[in-house]
Amino acid sequence: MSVSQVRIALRNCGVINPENIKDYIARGGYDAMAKCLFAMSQDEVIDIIKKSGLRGRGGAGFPTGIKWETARRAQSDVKYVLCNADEGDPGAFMDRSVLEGDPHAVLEAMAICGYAIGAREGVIYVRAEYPLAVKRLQIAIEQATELGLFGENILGSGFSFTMRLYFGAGAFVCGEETSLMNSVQGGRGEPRLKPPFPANVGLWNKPTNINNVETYANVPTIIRNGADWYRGFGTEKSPGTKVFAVVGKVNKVGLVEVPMGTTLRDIIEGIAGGIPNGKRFKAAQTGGPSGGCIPAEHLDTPIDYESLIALGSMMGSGGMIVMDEDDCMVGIAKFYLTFTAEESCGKCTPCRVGNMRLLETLTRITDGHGVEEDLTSLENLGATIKDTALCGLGQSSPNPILSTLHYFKDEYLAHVREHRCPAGTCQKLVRYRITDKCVGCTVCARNCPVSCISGDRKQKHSIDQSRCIKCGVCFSKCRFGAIVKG
Amino acid sequence: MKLSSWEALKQYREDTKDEVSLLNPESTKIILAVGEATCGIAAGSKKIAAVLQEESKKMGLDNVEIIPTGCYGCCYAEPMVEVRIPGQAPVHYGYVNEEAAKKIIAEHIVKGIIVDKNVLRVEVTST
Amino acid sequence: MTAKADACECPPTEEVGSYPEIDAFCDTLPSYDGALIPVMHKAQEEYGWLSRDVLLYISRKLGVPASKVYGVATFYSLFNLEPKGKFKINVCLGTACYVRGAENVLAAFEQELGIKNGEMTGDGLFNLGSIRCVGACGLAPVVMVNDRVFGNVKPEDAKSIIDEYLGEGGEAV
Repeated sequence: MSVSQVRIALRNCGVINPENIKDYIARGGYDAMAKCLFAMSQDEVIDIIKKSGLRGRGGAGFPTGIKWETARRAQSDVKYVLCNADEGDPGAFMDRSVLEGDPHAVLEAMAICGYAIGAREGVIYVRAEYPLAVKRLQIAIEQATELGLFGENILGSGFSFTMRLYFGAGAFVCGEETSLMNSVQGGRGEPRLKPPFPANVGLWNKPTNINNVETYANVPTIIRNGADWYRGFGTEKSPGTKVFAVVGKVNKVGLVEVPMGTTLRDIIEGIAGGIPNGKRFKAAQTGGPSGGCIPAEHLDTPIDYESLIALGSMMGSGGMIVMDEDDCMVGIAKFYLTFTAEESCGKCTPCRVGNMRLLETLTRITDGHGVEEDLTSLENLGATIKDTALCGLGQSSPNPILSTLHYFKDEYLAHVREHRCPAGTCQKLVRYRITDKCVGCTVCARNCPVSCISGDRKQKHSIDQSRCIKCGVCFSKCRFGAIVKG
Repeated sequence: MKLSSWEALKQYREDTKDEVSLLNPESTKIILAVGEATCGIAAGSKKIAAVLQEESKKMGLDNVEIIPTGCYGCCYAEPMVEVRIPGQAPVHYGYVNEEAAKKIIAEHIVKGIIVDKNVLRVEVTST
Repeated sequence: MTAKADACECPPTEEVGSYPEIDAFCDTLPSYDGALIPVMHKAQEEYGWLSRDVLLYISRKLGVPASKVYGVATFYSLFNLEPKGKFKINVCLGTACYVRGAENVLAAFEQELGIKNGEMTGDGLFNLGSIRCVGACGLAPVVMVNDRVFGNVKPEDAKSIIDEYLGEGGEAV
């Protein structure tokens, strides 16, 4: 029995033609904006968003209504509405899907926000790596402007709002709001200390509301159906739904939108169809490079912002990478640290130097030169970086290590004590051996790129370990399952 | 054309309801919605849209409209096609290769026989 | 409005070429505030990469110190400060692809082409690089060659993918 998805952010994705505004309008599009302009005061709009309990879908889960209210209270003649469409988590692509499938929902929400906080200009910061999303946004802005849904005196209400696109250039840290604003201003995307928060001092030092794509995509539906309706989904502290990109070792890779509080098991074994090839589930990684790995014993935890943090992970933007018994948890931690070490902007020392040291230690372990003390130093250094880094990137970058150390310590111990990789993926620790199942067909010997397999025809072969480069060709070529690794 | 009031927006919605690609019980138009988000295109959906176009032309179907749509979330089953025939429940097809695309036209659209092999069942509560 | 280049009193010491495409693009901008990154995007689209000469030109055009232009250009991974090959092979190293063996695919391309990740072949035909998540996770592991996406790539496919373009390159060159 599989759980039903509930589509709010994705309600139009795969349903409407995103390049035709008439489709969006037919689904009730721009009614929420009109309702705000003609039937609600600015404070009433903010009130609905606050009461709905909508929280930022980009990572930390900050209450959206409070952000809007702060920006509304800020005194300034010029304010901005910013959309973070710099989706950088590897393995997460819900924002791209929303922009490609339902661009108007995001635009409408930004105009609503503009009305609520008193801004006249919206800026969408979108990854240049998403050419189709960019194209569809451009078409959407053009069509809506032509109908007078953006621009001067929208629908005769007296409210004016314009929309502008701005392209990122490939820097993960620009997902951090202050970095993103530096980037829009044409500089290096480096973060700064908060406070002051963007709601008071934002783009060009003006009060700015910044939310991500999925957060905005919820807004028009909330305005149309009301806060109580929205609270009918999800949990007390995390109302509504969340989109997850379920990828990796599952049968049905894709996007799912479920009410908050759905369990990992319902998502992975239910909607995503379980693990392929009869393999065993090992862990689900959530929150991208800022998150952690959740083991099988917590599959039944209802997921929301708080429960994921309690498990040592986080919601992040909603990437969910499913791993099976063939994935090495030390290797996964190293994969993420390689990412953060590369993407660290270099402004603060804990992140710039600390992550590099973490990566070096992990590399030593996966190369077979690790010692048990390394595990303590990973823990200590990781905790220090979390406490001292400047922005969210550094403050969360040790999570992949700390969570795997917590749940999969035995794997780390096997690496440092026995110099063995239980999953058999750490190249330098892998040993291929030929067992008695060998019938002497010579296929492995003929395919070995360094000719280190010897043996007579119809006799058991053997591998010269000193010359083996561990490429795995023999393992994949053997038709008799006679070669084992580990 | 600029809409000058909320009323004008509502009127516009009413006036254009025959031009939209959603399932419309009052229309005779059959809509084939092809998933053309990045994942769909990478899996070959543009080619599939072309095949659908060509096949419906061959069959002399002039009430079939092929439209691009976004991602329905089933990346594993791309390319995807949704068939919307007025008066019937929409049908989602997955793993649509050229052969399946031809079958969708010849079997489902022309004869009304659903191509079971490619039907996807996704439980979704829409809002 | 940012000050124009001539506000700086240091005499320009290095002659730079002329880039009418950049001039034309700058003319469309309402203000040079925050224009640096869009201008660099445009320049790269026109010339394929950002040479020292182009960066200096942009610096003088916008009145932004060359050090800042260089700082921004090196900060973002999309800006190329070296010429790129005709065929850009990019192996996706996003998490979904990684979990499904993208590292081995990258290694296979490195071996076939005889270059490392980030390098260009001597004949200028191929560039090998890695990218992060093109959002085609359902087809992991994924390799992009220019704008074309290859899905479910196995290490042993590297040779045939390269061969396909080798044929094309041979005809075109």
